[in-house]
Amino acid sequence: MPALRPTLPLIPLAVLLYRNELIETNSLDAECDAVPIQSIRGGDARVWGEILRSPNAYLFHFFELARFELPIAAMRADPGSAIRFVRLPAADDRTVQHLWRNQVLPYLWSAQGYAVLHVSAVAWRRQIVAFAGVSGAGKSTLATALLQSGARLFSDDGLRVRFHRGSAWAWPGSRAVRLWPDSADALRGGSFDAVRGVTYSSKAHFELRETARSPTLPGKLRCIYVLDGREDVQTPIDVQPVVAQDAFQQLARHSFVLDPHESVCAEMHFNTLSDLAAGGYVKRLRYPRSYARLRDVVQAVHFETMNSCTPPSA
Amino acid sequence: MHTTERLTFARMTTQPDCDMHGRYMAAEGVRARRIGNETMVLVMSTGHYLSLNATGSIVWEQLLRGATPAEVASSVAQSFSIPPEQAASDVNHVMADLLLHRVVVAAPAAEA
Repeated sequence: MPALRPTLPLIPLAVLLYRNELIETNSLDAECDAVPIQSIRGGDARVWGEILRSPNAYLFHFFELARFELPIAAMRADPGSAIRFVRLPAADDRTVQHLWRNQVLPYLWSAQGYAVLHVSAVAWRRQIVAFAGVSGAGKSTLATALLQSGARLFSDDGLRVRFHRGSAWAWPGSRAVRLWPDSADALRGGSFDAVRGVTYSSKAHFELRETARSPTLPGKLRCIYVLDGREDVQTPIDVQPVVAQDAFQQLARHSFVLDPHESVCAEMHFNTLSDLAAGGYVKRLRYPRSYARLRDVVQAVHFETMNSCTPPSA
Repeated sequence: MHTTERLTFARMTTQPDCDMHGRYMAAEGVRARRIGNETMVLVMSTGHYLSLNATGSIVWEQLLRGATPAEVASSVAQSFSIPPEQAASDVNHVMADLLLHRVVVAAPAAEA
C-alpha cells in the first residue's frame, strides 16, 4: 500500500480564514509619520504611486486615485485588523477594487511568505503556466487566448509562489484581465463578458471577466515563459531555456516586494526566485506579435508545456 | 506593468580603493546564492539585488573563506594564467564594488 503523502502544500490556517476587510474613510491615521520606501511605476516608467511606511502600517498612495492603509498586523493575517482607504474624486468603485486586488493585495501577499510574480497565469488541469514580460508584451493576450483551448484563468498581475517539498506551487489570484482594445477585439467572445475598464490608465483598457468556473486551489507551477514578441509576422515560434542567472534577473524584475528592508520577507523572496531560476522553470518564448498567428502560438505553448517543460520536481 | 525601484539590478561599475592585505566578511543582512556561473546577492540594508560575474563570484567565495584580496589575486593569477598585476587590478575593482554596495565590510581586528 502506498504511503499516504500530502499532495498540497500546507496553507496557514489564519490565511485561509482571514478575509481582509476594506473600510472607506476620510483620513488615514498613519499618514502623519510615514516615510516613502519605494515608488510604483507604470509600464512607461512613469511614477504613479508610492509606498510609505509608518511604525504601525504601510501606506499605498495612488496619485489622484486612492490611498490605502495596510496595518502591520495584516501582514500576520490578524483577523482583528482591517484595511482602510481614502477614495479621491478620480476613482470609481471599480478602480478602487482594481487597485486593491491587483496592486495592494500582491504586495500584502509578498509580506505573508510568498514570492509574488507580476505575470498572467493559466491552469491546465492544475498545472500552472505563467507569462512574464514588460507592459504590452502580450501576457494577458496570450493567457486569454489560451482559455479558448481549454485552460482556465488562474491569476492576472500577482501570482503567489512558494516551494513545498521541492516543487513550486502557485496560488490563484485576480481573475480579471485587462486588454488593449485591439486584443479585446481579437479575443472577444467565448466565456468572457467585456466590462468597462478602470479610470487610472492613460490608455483605454478593456477588462474581461471570466464567467466559467475558475480554479480555487493552488497548483504546481509548470513553467514561466518570458515573452519575446517580434513585430515580424514571419518570426518562427521558438522556446528556449533561460540560463539561471538571467532567469533570476527576469523574475526579480517582474515581482512584487512590499518592503525590501524587512528581512524575512526579502530573504524568502530571494530564496524562492533563486530556486525557480536554478530549477529551470523559466523559458523564453519568441513569437510573432500577430493576431493572425495567435493560434499557432497557443498550440506551441500547449505542446511545449505538456511535453518539454521542466517537471515541477526540482 | 508596475515594477518597483528596488528590483532594478545594479551592475557594479565604480571602483574605490580597498586594503588588499586586509580581511573582509559579508556585511550583516547579505545573502548570496550561486546561480549558474554568477552569484546573486541580496543586500537587505539597501534593498538591492546585485549580480557578481564569474570573477566576482570567485573573489566573493574566497573572501568568505578568509583570504585577503591579495591572496585572492594570487589565486586568480594562477588559476587563469594571467599576469599578477592584472589579477590584482581585477580583484581590486571587484573589492571596491563590494565595499561600495555594502556587500562586504572589513573584518574586526580580532579576526584579522
